[in-house]
Amino acid sequence: MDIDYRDIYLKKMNRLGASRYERNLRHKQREFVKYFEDALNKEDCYINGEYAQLVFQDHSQSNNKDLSDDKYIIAPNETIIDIGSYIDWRDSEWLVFTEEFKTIPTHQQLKIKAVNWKLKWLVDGAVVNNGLGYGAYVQNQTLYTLGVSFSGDNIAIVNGKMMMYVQDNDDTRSYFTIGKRIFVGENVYKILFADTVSRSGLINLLMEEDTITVYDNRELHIADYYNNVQEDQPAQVEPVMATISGELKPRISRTYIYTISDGYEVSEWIIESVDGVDQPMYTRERDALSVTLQFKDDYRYVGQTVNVIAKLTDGSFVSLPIRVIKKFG
Amino acid sequence: MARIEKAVRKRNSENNSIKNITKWKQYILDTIAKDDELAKLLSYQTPDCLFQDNVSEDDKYALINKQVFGYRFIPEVAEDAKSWISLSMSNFVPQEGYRQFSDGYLMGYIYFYVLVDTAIMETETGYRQDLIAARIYELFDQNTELGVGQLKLQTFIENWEHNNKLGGYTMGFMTVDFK
Repeated sequence: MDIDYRDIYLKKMNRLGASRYERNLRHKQREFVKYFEDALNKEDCYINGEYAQLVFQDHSQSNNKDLSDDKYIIAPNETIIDIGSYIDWRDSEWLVFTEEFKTIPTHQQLKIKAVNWKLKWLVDGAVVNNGLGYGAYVQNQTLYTLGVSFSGDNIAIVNGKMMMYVQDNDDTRSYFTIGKRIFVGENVYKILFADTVSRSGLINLLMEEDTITVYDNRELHIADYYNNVQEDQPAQVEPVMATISGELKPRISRTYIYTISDGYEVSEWIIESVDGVDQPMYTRERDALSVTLQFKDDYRYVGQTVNVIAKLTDGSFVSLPIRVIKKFG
Repeated sequence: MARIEKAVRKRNSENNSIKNITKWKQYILDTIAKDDELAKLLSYQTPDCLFQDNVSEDDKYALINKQVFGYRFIPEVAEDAKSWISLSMSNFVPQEGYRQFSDGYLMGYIYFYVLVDTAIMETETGYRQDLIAARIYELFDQNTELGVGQLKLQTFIENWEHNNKLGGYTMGFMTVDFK
């Protein structure tokens, strides 16, 4: 076999680098690989759930304002990591804050801050992110008001301010809009400002303390819990009795349909007003399976209770008490 | 000494408007604390508040100095979404009306401040602050227990504070009593 010296030469040059810049870069790259292999502070961790090894470097804590034990991390170029990535390291969670654009791109260098609060909210009745929520880096922004506003004539009200960073993803983007409420510590805060631009990969949120309502779950730290949670559905069992289904709180001026459960037939629908002689509704349609009620557009009926009673073909009765409520709101 | 005592002596030293203020406030607090409708509007923060069970007597009395106050400024910081009623007495002047002036009577206003957190204003039968104000009007307008004659609603204005996080009404009832 002929030896083509030109081919050998080209292969050698490709390996070493075709230009002075390339040769120097590869030299530096090898230096980094050697450093990374032996680094004392290289540790196991998980980046967004994926196993990885990173070098964790301490850096000065003299900046007390940051309130966080920040670290630099060093990663090979192959490692997938970016601003907003969550890192599980030494049993705690960290959030990637900044990434350095390396002028000599032999490796990646990023800064991380310790996550100090787990944000939880409900999506379709369940806690977001498979029940885990999202980690946030929260900082107190309460300065002059000391967390309470005395501006009113009759009462003082909680008025703390908070700032936080959280990963920018579909879940956080869709939830963190103006007016949404979230627990931070034992208090609920209302989102007043969301910035996705200043630190691409993270959302920066400014929040004002809100009063706690009966719908907030203080034990689980989930705001607007009781008006959004889906109770576990009991296993489907054959109903032993007929039931009437329909709107329990009909509004005046609107029309509703009340239906008997499957497998039963009604011989007579009886609509009984509990509070007054006057019926607050007209019966529009009725048959063996359902009755259609149109409620009168008259405020006097608001608050009245009505019994929707069905006499079944077998002679038994079922009833559904409903309460007429106001037109709007 | 005798001259000074004579100088400060009031015509009705035992029974006059200013001396009666605390007594009136106590009566008002008692009336509010005994009322089932107001107790429900203050105690239950859900839209079906008026259709909940009656509040027990102990819980009704516990509303005093928690959500109902005998003076204008509520000394506790609002942390939860609730409603509050507070009172004040203002503008007491010698009684004066159309073509009449009396130095023997004082007239003035008893103010009710109704404040409701915007988060709980909606109820099934109306807005919470409207229902509270309506019930206070029912209980106290033409009431004959305070002063001489009847209490009369004379002023009724909106009251919103804290960047409109809390809203409600200021209601002023006029009372007349001895000077």
